[in-house]
Amino acid sequence: MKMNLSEYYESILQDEMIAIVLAWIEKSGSITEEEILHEIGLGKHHLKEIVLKLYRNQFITVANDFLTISEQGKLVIDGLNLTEEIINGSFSNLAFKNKERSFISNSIHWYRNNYYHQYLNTFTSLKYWNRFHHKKEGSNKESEKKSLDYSVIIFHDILQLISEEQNYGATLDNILAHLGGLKYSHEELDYTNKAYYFLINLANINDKEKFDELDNSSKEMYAFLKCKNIFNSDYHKQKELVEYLYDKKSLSKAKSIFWKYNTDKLHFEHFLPRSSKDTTFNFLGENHRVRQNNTLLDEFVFIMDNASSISDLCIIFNKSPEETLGLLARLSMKIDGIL
Amino acid sequence: MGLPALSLEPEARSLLENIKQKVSNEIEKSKKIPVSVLLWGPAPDDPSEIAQLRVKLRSELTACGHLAQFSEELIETESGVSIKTQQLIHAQQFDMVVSMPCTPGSIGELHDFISDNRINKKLLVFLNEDFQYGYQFQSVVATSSYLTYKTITYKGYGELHIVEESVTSEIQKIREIKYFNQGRWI
Repeated sequence: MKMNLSEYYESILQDEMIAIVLAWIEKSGSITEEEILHEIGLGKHHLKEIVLKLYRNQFITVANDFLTISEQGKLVIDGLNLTEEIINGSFSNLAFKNKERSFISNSIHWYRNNYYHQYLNTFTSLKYWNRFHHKKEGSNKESEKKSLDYSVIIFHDILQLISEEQNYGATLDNILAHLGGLKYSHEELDYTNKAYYFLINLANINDKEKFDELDNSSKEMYAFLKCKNIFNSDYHKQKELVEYLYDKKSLSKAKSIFWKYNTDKLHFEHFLPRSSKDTTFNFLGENHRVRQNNTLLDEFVFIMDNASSISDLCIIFNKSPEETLGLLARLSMKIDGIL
Repeated sequence: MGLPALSLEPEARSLLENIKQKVSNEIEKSKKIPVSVLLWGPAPDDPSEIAQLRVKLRSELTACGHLAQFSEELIETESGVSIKTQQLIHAQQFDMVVSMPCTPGSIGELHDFISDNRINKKLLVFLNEDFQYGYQFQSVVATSSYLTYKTITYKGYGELHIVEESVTSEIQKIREIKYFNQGRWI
């Protein structure tokens, strides 16, 4: 995809702030003008001009005052070679060692190149999570916690996509293979491993009793991961939140809006039996069970136990319904014969 | 809604500084990308204001690092090839051709080029509305407005600033597109 002059209504490189604002919007996932004003210190009128130019060139989309980068805008950021700054800047202060840093950077580049919209959604989630959990004093323990939280949020979203792409659950090994992570040892991917097993633990929560056994921090992350996508698409709620988010005195109010929203959703969603559409952690849970019983027969039994229809099996085997029925008939005859 | 003033967290401040630095470096790089522009119009010694503007544009664009040329600098009279053919060959080699005809006759010459799809998409045409009641003006406007890259009209020499501003702005846009697309714009 190339930039096209006929759709390029206004020059944008004569004012450095235009590209800076564009990069800031991507870094934030989605953001209001008010937030930009207060984060990067521009004059209101100047920002209005910039936003208008970006909008006219179709580099951004606007939904209920939230600005998001479009595919066209992504090309501008690519052209300006700002991707590295945005991606690496999202974890530059975290505790990852060099090799994991490089793995995370490559994974997010892959994510951005293949699933730009979802990548922006993840960065929106990170924006809210970071604002609520920021503490000035950076002890080692706190830095480790922030690094784990970051890995959990990023990898939760990436793993889910890979799982959907493969039409079957995501194991740690095939995810690492997908993201070029097999060349690293488990020790080198410390936080990635921890994030994966943290998510596996959350995947096994399927009743309120188990949920109540979690520590507060895990409960918070559980609610966040379950509800963040609903929250990210609820612009009304986000706007209400933004009004309190930037004032230290009312940050606790913002936090309570956010958590009330999440826990309300959680009550509706979570403690009911899982529906097939609720895939927040299912893809990991199923996989983990497969991995634990790592034999061909166990995998097959697991698949048959969990498939509720022919269409489930069609997806897993990647076959048409006719082929799947044919295979099952052959297997059934063979099993009958052996027995 | 008015949000209270915010001091950025150190990490965000450092990210902002990195982005600013990078943007500044990249914009400097983009300024080194030349756009080649062929300026068609009245001869430089013509007394008309548009001829003077053509000279001025050549000098301003060159000062900005572009390649701005007149056809008459490129024509080889001894080549045995017609001027029209030579102009067509030149036009194909340039990123943009700016046409500023200053008489009804020269407006008519544009017909030679606006239907040629090898070059019409890079033709930026300026037409003086003083000639708007003539056949040449009307027929060129009718075809060039959709065949050329852009056709802009101005109301006499009092509005020559429109020509100047449009040329510099379009050339800047092409420079940016060439930068984003790593050299290509069309």
